Amino acid sequence: MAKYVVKRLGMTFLTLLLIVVLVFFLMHAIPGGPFTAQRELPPEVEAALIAKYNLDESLGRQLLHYIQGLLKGDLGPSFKYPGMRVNDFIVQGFPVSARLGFVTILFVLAASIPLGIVAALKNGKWQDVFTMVLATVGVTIPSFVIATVLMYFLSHKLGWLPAFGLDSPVSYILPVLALGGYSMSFMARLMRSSLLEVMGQDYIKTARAKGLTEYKVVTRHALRNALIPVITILGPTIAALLTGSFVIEKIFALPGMGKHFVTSITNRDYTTILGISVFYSTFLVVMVFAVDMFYVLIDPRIKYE
Amino acid sequence: MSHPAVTSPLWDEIDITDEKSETLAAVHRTFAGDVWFRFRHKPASVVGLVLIAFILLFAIFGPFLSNHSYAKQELAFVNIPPRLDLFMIGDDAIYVSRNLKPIHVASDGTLLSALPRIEENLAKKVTSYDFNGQTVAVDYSVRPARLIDPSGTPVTETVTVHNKTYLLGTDKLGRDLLTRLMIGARISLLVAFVAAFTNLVIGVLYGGISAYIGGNTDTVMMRIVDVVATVPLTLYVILIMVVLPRDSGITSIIIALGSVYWVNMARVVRGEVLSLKQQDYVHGAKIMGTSTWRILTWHLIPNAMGPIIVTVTMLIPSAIFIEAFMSFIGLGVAPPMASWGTMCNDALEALRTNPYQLFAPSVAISLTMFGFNFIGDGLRDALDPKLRGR
Amino acid sequence: MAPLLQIKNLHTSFFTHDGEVQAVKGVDLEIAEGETLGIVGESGSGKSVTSLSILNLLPPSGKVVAGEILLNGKDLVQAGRSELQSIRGNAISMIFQDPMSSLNPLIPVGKQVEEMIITHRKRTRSQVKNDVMKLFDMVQIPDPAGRYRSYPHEFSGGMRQRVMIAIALACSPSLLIADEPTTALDVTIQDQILVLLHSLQREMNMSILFISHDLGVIAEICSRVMVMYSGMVMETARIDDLFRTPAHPYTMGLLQSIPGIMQDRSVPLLPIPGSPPDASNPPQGCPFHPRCRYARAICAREVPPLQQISESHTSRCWLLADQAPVENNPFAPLRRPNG
Repeated sequence: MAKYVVKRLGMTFLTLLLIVVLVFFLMHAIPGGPFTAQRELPPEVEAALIAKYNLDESLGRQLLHYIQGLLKGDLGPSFKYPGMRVNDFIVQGFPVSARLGFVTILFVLAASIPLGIVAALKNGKWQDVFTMVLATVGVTIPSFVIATVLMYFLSHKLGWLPAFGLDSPVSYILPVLALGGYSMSFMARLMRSSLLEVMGQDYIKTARAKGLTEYKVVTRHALRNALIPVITILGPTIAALLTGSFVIEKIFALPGMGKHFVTSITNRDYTTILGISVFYSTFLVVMVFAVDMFYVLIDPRIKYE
Repeated sequence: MSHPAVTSPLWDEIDITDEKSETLAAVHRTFAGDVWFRFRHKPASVVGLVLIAFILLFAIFGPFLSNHSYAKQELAFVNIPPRLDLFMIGDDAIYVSRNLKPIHVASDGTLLSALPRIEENLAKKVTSYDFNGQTVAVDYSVRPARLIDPSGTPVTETVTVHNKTYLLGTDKLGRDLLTRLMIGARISLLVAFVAAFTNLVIGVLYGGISAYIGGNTDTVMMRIVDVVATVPLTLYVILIMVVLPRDSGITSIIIALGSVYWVNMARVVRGEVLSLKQQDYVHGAKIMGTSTWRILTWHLIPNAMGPIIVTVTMLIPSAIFIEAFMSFIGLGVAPPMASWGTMCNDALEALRTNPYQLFAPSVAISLTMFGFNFIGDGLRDALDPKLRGR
Repeated sequence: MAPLLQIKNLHTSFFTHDGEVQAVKGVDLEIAEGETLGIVGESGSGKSVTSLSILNLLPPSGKVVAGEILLNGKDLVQAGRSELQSIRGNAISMIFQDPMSSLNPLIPVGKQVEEMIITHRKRTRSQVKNDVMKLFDMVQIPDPAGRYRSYPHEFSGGMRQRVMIAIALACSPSLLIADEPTTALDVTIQDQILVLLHSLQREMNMSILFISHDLGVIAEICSRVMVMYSGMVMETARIDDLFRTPAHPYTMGLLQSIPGIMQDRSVPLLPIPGSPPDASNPPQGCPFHPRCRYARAICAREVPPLQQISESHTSRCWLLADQAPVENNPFAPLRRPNG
């Protein structure tokens, strides 16, 4: 098992390194260096900036500086707003995004797993059909379509739910539904097919042959095995929620990191774009690693790979 | 029970040839025929096929049949919805737009011209306009605004007709939404097909070669894929789009999509080829001296076609989605070009007042996604070897 | 003495998209206390389905449509769900073909045996643990204490099957149903398992219903055997009678296709030509007739009834009928005189 952990850790670091290098070189691929593209700066100011940010050194050394900065947690200055640093945007936006993301994950898990279980156990009956139709819709229709349509009907037309901000608990409903809709549907379908497959396995037959009640068969034997594929996609699900947040935060005007990211794209604030990308990637890679470790706990077969 | 007598013909010996004992139970079909048979017996798949066929026709032939151009701005007819509430004045009708401009409309719904303004009375919140020599006024002191006819009486009743000039209405620059939808279909589908095809080629080659060579090469190649795939592919696309020069529109999206999404296809193909290359016909081909390239293209990849086709069919809606997504965050095709994504994005600002602008592209995207998803699901089931022989 | 288990006219079908597929078409059998009855047949013969029908462990599309299954006189087909659950694992136990897939991969084996005991008996924690250890000893699993917390994938195939047997015997059932328990094992291990089952059976005076496609395996452990084909019983006999005087062309075919180590090389192995019938579209008349070299016209028209050859020997073949001709009839000498 230790071998597995070390292997995963190694991959994680490799990935992070790749991202940083990639991002760094992309930054330098943009025509015109930082601070010089937009306005004409007086030569002394330009010289001072160049000195301060080591822009006259070789690419390799600049990369080193950048990595050093990263290790200290510093993502560099904003390209567009010289007074601001990328970290400022993150500190401002991350709590909002984190709240939204956290509630969405809870929703996704709390909704999809029971739905998938019920659909599998009532295979072919109306509960199954209903759930699957709902899930198909959720998986097919893009999140921003769901967001805008829901916003129009439930907020503008009927006035039931607020369209902007995350002030009250009620204001979470629309963004969470829109952000989590796809993942919830995907997971419900996966839970259902996974449980259906497990229920057809021989060890379920054995469990029944032991005289266990159907309830015990499902809870003690089927569920644990069926949940494994679902947990496996938690990592990609978090990734999907992360990228989904760009659009959802824009639509619902939530001052989260996603919105800052989108704004920086519109403004072509290159250092912020890249800095936030590094942050996102790191966050994601760490989350995936955590899920992998959790996975080890529940499936004893992994330990011996 | 009485048995028949010994001499009865029922006791004659019957001939059991090997033929009879080896008759095949199942109906004979070719592989493709088998797949098609199972595909068309699933209602959802057929619906998907019909939907996509329709959308393709819409995209290819639609713009030729339309009277309008997608880029022409008609500033007099800005934000006109597809259904109009007309104030009738005699045989003529007047439509009052959302921003309170009256427009002369024929009673069948054809838009004629905007009325020239005479004067504006801010205190009373009434603006008067010239209507074929007569004076009508828009009274916006009440909600909804009402029209005052030449005789001075407020016109209260309205007749609802379909907008005959612009079947789906116009956007904020007075451009015909239907034509833009058709052009948008072309853009969205073009991006999707080309991107999917690019991913197909790169992914199949990468995965096929990796699996066929096997060993350490395979391990390294797949590790690269794993590392690349850990970061959300969307993020890569964003970064690439940001770096590529602006205003290259479709090309940059295609490049961005094509350079990243092949990882999924590579994994699928690698899995298939890994199991296929153990098959005896591959060993046979090698012994005969067939070149690696030929083995890959002639034997391995055609036999992996099933999952490849399914994956490609699912790549297309992914690509459409990503294009729309990029448009939404401002990285889509540049105006006046329209894609469904940019149309949705434009419609967002005016959602409260002009919701119809959102519905057309939303429905278009949704139907297209449904269509391809149903086809993909249907193909997956039809190609599933476990279900064969039914 | 009344038989322990009696099956009367069992009909089990599967209901699929393409309609009803009849897997078991009128099977009768009896098992006495302490007896080992074997069921032999090819894939598709209905032997597994018959065994699964007893405890109603059929997949969702399967259903017993007619017949009675009497356990000491009580009809299991009519039994309620909780009644059936109290019989499963308790009065009747079952082991399956593939022990790797039949054990839950995520639960230690000790716990899986415990579960059986806890379900049907009231025992304290330490008593249960003790019981499990004793069972492991009984099935000859070495180092029971150490293996208690192991997972199924850490065992070899033979060991896993021993675990399955331990589970099945935990509550001392009167009847053990063994559905191809040795098919997935190596030949030498096969033998060990058969020997184990045989000795356990004698120890516990347990009945065994042993299902296999391998007549050789059946011969080793069963005293009586039933041959099934296409959902019907073709022949039932004591094992010696079956080998010495088979009374059905199918049985003859099975015997002729078993290679023996001491066999005379000049005698060819005769496979039975053709393949088993399509269950959804069976042939008319006797299901075996398309592959039978003694087939007559009547065989293609009507299903033969079961003919009694001796007290313990029955067979379903037209050639055993009183009116059947003598030429080219291998069973002519077996027929009972008219009566």
